[in-house]
Amino acid sequence: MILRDTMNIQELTAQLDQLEQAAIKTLNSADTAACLEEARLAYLGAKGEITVLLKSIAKLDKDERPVVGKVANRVKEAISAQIDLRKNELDEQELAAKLSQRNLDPSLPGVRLKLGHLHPLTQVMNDICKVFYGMGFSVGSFPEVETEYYNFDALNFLADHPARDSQDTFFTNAGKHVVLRSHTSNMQIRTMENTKPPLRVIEAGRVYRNEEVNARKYPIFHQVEGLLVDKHVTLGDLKGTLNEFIRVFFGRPLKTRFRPDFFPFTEPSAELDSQCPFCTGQGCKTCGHKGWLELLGCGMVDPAVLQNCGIDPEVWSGFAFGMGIDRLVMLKYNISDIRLLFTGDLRFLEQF
Amino acid sequence: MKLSFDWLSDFVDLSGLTPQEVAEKLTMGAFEVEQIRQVGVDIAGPIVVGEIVEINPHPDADRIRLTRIKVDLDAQPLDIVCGAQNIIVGQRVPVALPGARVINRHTGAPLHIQESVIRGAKSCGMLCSAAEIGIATNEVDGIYILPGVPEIGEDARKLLYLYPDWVLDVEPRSNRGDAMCVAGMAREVAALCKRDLREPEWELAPESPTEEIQLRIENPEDCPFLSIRVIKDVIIKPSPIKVARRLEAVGMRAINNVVDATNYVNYELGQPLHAYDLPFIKGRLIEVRRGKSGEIMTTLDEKRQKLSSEILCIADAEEVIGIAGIMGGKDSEVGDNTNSIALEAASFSPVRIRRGSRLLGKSSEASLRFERGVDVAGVRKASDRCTYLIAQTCGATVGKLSTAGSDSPRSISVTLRLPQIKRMAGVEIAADEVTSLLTPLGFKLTKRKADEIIAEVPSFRQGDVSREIDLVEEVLRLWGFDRVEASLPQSAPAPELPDDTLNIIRHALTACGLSEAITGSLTKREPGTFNPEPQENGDERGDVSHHKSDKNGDDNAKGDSGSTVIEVLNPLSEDHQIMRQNIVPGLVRAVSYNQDHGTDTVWLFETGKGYFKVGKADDRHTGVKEETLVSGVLSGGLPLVSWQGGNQALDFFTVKGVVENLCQALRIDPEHLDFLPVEHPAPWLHPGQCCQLIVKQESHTEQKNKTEPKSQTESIGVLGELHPGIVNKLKLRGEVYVFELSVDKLRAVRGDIEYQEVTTTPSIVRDLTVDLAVDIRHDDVSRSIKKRSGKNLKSVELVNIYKLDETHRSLTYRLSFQHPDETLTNEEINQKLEMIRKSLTEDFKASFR
Repeated sequence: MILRDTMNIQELTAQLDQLEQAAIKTLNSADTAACLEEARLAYLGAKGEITVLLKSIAKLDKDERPVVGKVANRVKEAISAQIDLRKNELDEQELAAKLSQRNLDPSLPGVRLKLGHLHPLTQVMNDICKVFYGMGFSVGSFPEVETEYYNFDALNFLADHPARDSQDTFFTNAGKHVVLRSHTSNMQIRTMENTKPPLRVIEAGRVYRNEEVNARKYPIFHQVEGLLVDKHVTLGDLKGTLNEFIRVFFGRPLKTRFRPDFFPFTEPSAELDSQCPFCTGQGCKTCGHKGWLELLGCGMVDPAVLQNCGIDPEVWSGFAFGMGIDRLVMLKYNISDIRLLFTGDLRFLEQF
Repeated sequence: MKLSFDWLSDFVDLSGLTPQEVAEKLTMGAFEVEQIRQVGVDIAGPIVVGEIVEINPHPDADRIRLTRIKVDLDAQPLDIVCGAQNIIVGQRVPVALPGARVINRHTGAPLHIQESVIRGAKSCGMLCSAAEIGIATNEVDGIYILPGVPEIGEDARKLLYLYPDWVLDVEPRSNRGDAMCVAGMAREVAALCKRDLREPEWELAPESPTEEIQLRIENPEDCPFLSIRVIKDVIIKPSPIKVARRLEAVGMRAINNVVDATNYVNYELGQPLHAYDLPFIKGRLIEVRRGKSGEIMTTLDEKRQKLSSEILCIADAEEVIGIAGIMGGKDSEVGDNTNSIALEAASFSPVRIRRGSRLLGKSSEASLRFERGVDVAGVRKASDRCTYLIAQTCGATVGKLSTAGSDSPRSISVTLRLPQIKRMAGVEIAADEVTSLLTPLGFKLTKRKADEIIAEVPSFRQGDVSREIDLVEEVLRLWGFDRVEASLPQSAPAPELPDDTLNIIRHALTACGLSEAITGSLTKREPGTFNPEPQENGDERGDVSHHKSDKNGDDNAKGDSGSTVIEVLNPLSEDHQIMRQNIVPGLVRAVSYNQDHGTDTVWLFETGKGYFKVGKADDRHTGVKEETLVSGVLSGGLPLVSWQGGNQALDFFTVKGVVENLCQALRIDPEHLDFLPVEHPAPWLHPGQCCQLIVKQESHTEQKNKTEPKSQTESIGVLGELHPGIVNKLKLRGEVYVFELSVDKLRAVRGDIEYQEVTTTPSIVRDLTVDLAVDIRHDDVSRSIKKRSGKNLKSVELVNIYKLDETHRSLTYRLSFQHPDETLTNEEINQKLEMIRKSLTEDFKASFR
């Protein structure tokens, strides 16, 4: 629409009104955001009808301009307002449409990258170390390839002790007296040689024994060993410390009993039985219907061992304990074959 | 060791104690009882010997008869109704009196005897058949007619040895040879249950002179004491019922009166004995000596044994007739026709017997005891006891005991300071109580001071008690470990935070989808796959951490082959021969295992050690370096769960991404990471699809000293594709990607959090596309861009690679600039970009479009 010179103000105003009505009709019939935008451009865009019309006002007489301008602005504002109104309507319709979607099957699997699993041995060893860390034990790591001195001699094993036989212990080509440690107790000597008491150390690690492979035995297995040396340490402290461990590890206090036993490097020595955590002492398959579970060996550090490490047994005393982890894990989860721990079978690992 | 409750009661008063109570005491007193089994016959008295004095027919019944039985010489005979037909007057039979409990011969159920009236006739008891009193017999039904003329009124159960018995399975203790017998366990039970010890009464028949046998001991260390007794006029026959029952109860087969007597005494007193058929001892000589190589003999179990100087033997003038402390010879075995024997009782060195037993792969009731130590002071008594038992059965002629060596024990006294008990256990035990605890075990105690006791150690405990602490242990064990009150140690300073590197790595890798495996660190040799073929001066390992032993400048440190590999000298099998130096082989085997079991996407990692022989060993040093490693293996696809598709094949960049995430978890600045080619890749890596991870680190100590800041680089490990040759050899499906890094080195380059203020000024982002020859590395380009961009460059990200032709490619980088305080202008950025283009052109012959 072009303003013609001949057009009088009345005609012009009428035309603007007409334009307004047409625009409002178009806007109201726009049923998508895209149509609405198209309509907005048609009227208010750079080349839109209203824009062009407003530009042509400049050609009018000086005194006519304000009159027409006023009308034109009113029309423009009315169209703008209508666009906003219609936009809101369309937005609400769209939202309502979105909200009306009900076709979700939430039972379809989530799309994800699977998380890996930590080995049960790692989990149990970490848990055990954490409990003892809480009781002031620092966590250490010690050699697996070891001299007979640290694995046997300094631990008070006699020269002809059966454990030293090649049927029990692996010997290596690294040296005449270099063996694969048969227990984690080498940490006791290495700790006491390097650290002055008072000391508290715990280690979880691998040990080796020359045993035929079967469902219960594997030449490689894991132990946790703890050592505490201080002034005035007693058998009662050993009992209390291990009772605390059992309470925290199993999540509830369980009865324990300390059965005297014999180890070359502790005196007195004991086996610690805990009330079977799986049946709370009622007797079950796991505990062989005894109600008790043999958990670990422990004892007061033998004075000869302290002396071997340059610690005066008349001043210091201490206790040590060691437990097999593979068996504990097998009992905990009812695993029938120790070899499952070492195959890397994902059907096994993914359960932990 | 199997312990008969009945036998035990010969040596200790067990009245009022149940086997369960005794087992509990033993278990808590250092001798674990694994199980209790009931054996013997469960019947109850009164069951006595009665003589049949009259048999009359029943007036109303043909099948039953009325008997009168004398069970008490001072009383009238009893009327007893009997259905059996095999009885005649004058026989003596077992009679169950009212109150007795016998066995229903039809059902096996308990049968309670009471006075009753049978078909109108009074019956005051029951005449017993064999089955009714638990005697197994082949005879047809009928009353059990007692052999001989046992006394009227005698307890028939005692006569026939019809008792319920319990066998306790006691775990033997390696340091307690003295407790491997009934008498030894009795001492423990007496001490633990506070009961009196007693001894069965017996007396050896007078000794008569017999032929002399010369004894000789080659080395007193092997055999401190040897005794031989000749016994003549022996008649071989079955053992008395009691001996046979007891041996059977503890799991031994009764053989004959002589062999059973030796076994019986071994079980009872813990002293092994052996009887030789005397005529088979040649030259009237018995010698204890080492075997000679080439010597061969046949043992009782008819096995041929090759002897050696490690094996202690019993020999006559001509040949070996027995393996000392382990097993006798077949030739001199006591048999049905034996009528004279030589009874050997001796003390042998525990070490020697154990060695022999291990070498021959043979253990016996004798060797089990000698290995744990047998009391030298008990040899004579055991020989006497055994001789007594043999003579009892057949009235043999007993010769004098010939001996060699010495059986006098050492005298060992140990001082026990009572405060030491308190110091070790936190409990106070008075001197009197200590005395009453230790005395039953055979210790002789004298009080020296108010708080000091001197204990004389009995000969049979000298093997395990020689120090004060050993006595403290004895006292506490008898007093009761369980009575020691639990306490907590005094508080201590907080421990250092444990090193968490391994756990961070584990968690980062599980977050990436890898599961943790644990594979054997003692593994097999695999030349041709994981280990290179053995070659001279070859570096036998992968290139993970450069443990070449020649770095130590000590070639002698290595084995003969110059290898750093640690071998086990006594391997169990080929599968457990060497200590691993890489974890990757174990993980690749796990991939194979999983693929064989139907799992294709296998993402695994393991943290553990590699073992390297790097130096010389001595008593205190192994010369071994144990390096903690982390390795991973990726096969199949992404561990993706999706029904929308989208899985993609793995490639080098998958494994690189995992390694980068791992480094990020350890806060290692990505700017410090370099992935460089490997000069001599491990044999298990694809030589063209692998690289090493380098971490550059500025040395902090040198910075402190204000010397030149020096940048150090360290190879942390390798990553890449598994060698396709191995994939083929192991028949793996698809490519496998692996990495292996040194945890020890990663730990050393771990970083800290370095926070930078978040800026609010707008950033300007520009893409820069660079056309380059394909052999120009991305990180060189990226580094060059950073160098020219100045400090306002926030990030450079590679967003696209486009292959132009065979020799050129186009890399698109997205550069983001930001000034902390000001808004950058386009002119500034354009200037920078111009500089970057110029330097890329100069450095890499780059072109731009």
